[in-house]
Amino acid sequence: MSSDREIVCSRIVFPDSEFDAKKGRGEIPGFPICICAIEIDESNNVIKHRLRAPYPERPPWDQCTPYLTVGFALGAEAGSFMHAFPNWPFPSPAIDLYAEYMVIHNSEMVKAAGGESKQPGPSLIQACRRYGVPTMDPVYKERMRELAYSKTDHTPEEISKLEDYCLDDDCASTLRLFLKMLPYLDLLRAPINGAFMMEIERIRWGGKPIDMVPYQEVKQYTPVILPKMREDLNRKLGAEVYFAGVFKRRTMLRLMRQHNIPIPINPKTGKESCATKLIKPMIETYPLLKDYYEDKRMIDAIKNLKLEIGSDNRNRCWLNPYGTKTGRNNPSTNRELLGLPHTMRSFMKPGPAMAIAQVDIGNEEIGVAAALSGDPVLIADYQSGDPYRRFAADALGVTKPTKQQRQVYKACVLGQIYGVGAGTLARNLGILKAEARRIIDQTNARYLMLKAWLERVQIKAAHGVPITCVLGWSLKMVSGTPDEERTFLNFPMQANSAEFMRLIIVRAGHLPLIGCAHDSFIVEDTIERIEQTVAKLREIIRQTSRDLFGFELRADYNPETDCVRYPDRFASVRMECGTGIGL
Amino acid sequence: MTKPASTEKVVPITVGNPSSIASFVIDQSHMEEFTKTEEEKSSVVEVKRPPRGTYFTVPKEEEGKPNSLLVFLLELPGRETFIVTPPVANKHSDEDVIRPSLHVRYVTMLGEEALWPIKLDPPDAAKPNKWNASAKNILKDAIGAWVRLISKQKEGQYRHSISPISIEKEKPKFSNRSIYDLLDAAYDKDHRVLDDNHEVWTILAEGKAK
Repeated sequence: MSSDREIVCSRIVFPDSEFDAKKGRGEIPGFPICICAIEIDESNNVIKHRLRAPYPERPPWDQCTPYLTVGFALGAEAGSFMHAFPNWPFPSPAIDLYAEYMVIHNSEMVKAAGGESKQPGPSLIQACRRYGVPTMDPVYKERMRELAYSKTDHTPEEISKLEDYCLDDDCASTLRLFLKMLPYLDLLRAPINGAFMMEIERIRWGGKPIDMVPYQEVKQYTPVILPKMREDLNRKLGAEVYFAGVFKRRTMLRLMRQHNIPIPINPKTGKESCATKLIKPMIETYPLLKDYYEDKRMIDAIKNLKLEIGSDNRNRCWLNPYGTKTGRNNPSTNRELLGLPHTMRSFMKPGPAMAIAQVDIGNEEIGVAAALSGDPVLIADYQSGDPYRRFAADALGVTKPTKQQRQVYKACVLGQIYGVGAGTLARNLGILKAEARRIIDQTNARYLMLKAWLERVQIKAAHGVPITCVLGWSLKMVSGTPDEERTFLNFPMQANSAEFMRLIIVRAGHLPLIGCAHDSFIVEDTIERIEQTVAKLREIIRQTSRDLFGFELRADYNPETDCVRYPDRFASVRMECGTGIGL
Repeated sequence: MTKPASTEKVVPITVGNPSSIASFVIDQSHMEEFTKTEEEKSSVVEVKRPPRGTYFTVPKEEEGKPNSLLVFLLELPGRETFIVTPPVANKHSDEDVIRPSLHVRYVTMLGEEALWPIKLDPPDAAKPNKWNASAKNILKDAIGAWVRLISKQKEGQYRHSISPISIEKEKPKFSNRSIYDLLDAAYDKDHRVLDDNHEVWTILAEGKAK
């Protein structure tokens, strides 16, 4: 008998479909040539379903009694369902074996990639091999794909051929893989991952509207713009950090020394570095670095700009769910708009009568740290709206700390979560080491419970115990290097934030979400409805944080700055350059 | 959660309902467990409300074996909580930092045994506190069944859900200790106010301990 908490499924359906994925082109995937499924019914009998256009209202296996859908990379099937059964909701509960593979083998995939990054997700054939499941010949699979992709006017014989392949190879392999993986599946939580994999495809389908005129101009004039931007940066810095179009790292480091700017050490290599991600905490202290940081990021982004834009002028890119060790999405940083610097979001422009809005989870990692550690002071600081300002005010005994003072305390609080020592903090902020030590001591004294909790996480990780998040995502220490230990300081915050993001996406499936970054969500709706949609999204975010963490995280939205209505273009409040890229 | 024993019979299969997330949340207090040794773990008894999304049960009351105790707590903001003996509490009845509390013994489905402090309304309360009242009502259902608390912030009270799994099927793992032992473990001698020679009275009289 099913309960609110659990669903008893008397049948299992393994669907698969054949279509042109139009990979890398920014297009909505093609209309399905066929949708097939293997169904295991109440009596354990196997039923094979073959569907081709014209499709019925709903698939024949949906008989209004609970059944479990199992697929591999269900996003693809979600796309076929949206095409073939436009009024049919996504099947639920559903289990995606790709997602479950990523959950089960996270630590193993991180280890295989050397600990720093993570191996790419497996194909169905690779997953089957990993579990010793007999599967299809890759050459045959490629031939069938070629048949599906090469044309749109398939003959009935060709469709039958594709149906055979779909049923006897893809569906059958998925069924066999499921049976092998079953003992390792967390059946209680797997349906959340399954739902997420389908909803993330819905987001991709939506796509982000791109204003093609400025985008094409930037692309077209890149050969002209880039040398000018490089020259501009050289002029601002008073040094040839770009020489003959090539960035000269040594020149930049020399320049920093000349200006008595401390040089950050890359924690991974132990060497001096002027990488923009290491420079970022220093830009409020050193105006020279602010110019460098903003211009360098723009130059790099424009140089590699390859947004995947479909014929309807919308950016669609694979979001690579579970692509990092923390479980966050890992889309391309030059093909996906939200992977580019914030400034470039100004390419996004709503169509006539439409509006786009962005909702951010305010200070997400600090909020999650407060919730998980239960530190009452950090909770109170988070709830004040600006934890860093409040800490700086208390520590310095002032009512209104300056932007720079706030930045120092922000770097210190975040530094504790990232395991930054006094030396690095001093270098990053351009302050004396003794001063950095003093601020770290202040931080530890203020957030006693946070410090104790972080220590416990590290001890646990160091003993090889997996650190498990609220919905089951976990990571286990594999090498025990100092870098890896630092990973575990921050892992609970990032990975629980990823669980949070996934659940928000599942719950916001009925809203017109068109994009999501780590801590922000973008919706597109008519100008009349946009505020209502934003209100619903914000409530989902708040409710989800209460459900997951027993603590309400902020869903920040300012109607003046976070919403853009046609004919304006999108302008993120986090844009570094204020006017975008001069469009 | 049922998983098929073999590939021969794969249905029916029971999976989580994605709409009931709150009950799937993995309690992050597992982070705390590792640093304590088994011995320490057994000697530490927490006084806390049953964790969210976790089923718990309360033992039946037997002759000489109560499942709850009425205690007086002295709570100073920013400091630890102390237990005050009834005569001392009576003597200082004008102090609003002393409140009666019902400490109820419970164990979670995961085997964590603890005491649930349910505040009791002061005798001069204008109207009953709905949180306290609803908590006491849930206690009755928690005897002989697995229940979990659901906080209804809007209603200002607790609701509860009863697990379809019976305590016969999933036996509660109560320790052999009595509720008095649990109370002793929860409040050691440093957290007991037995007379007027305790530093809390100095703090209350002067603002800080000498």
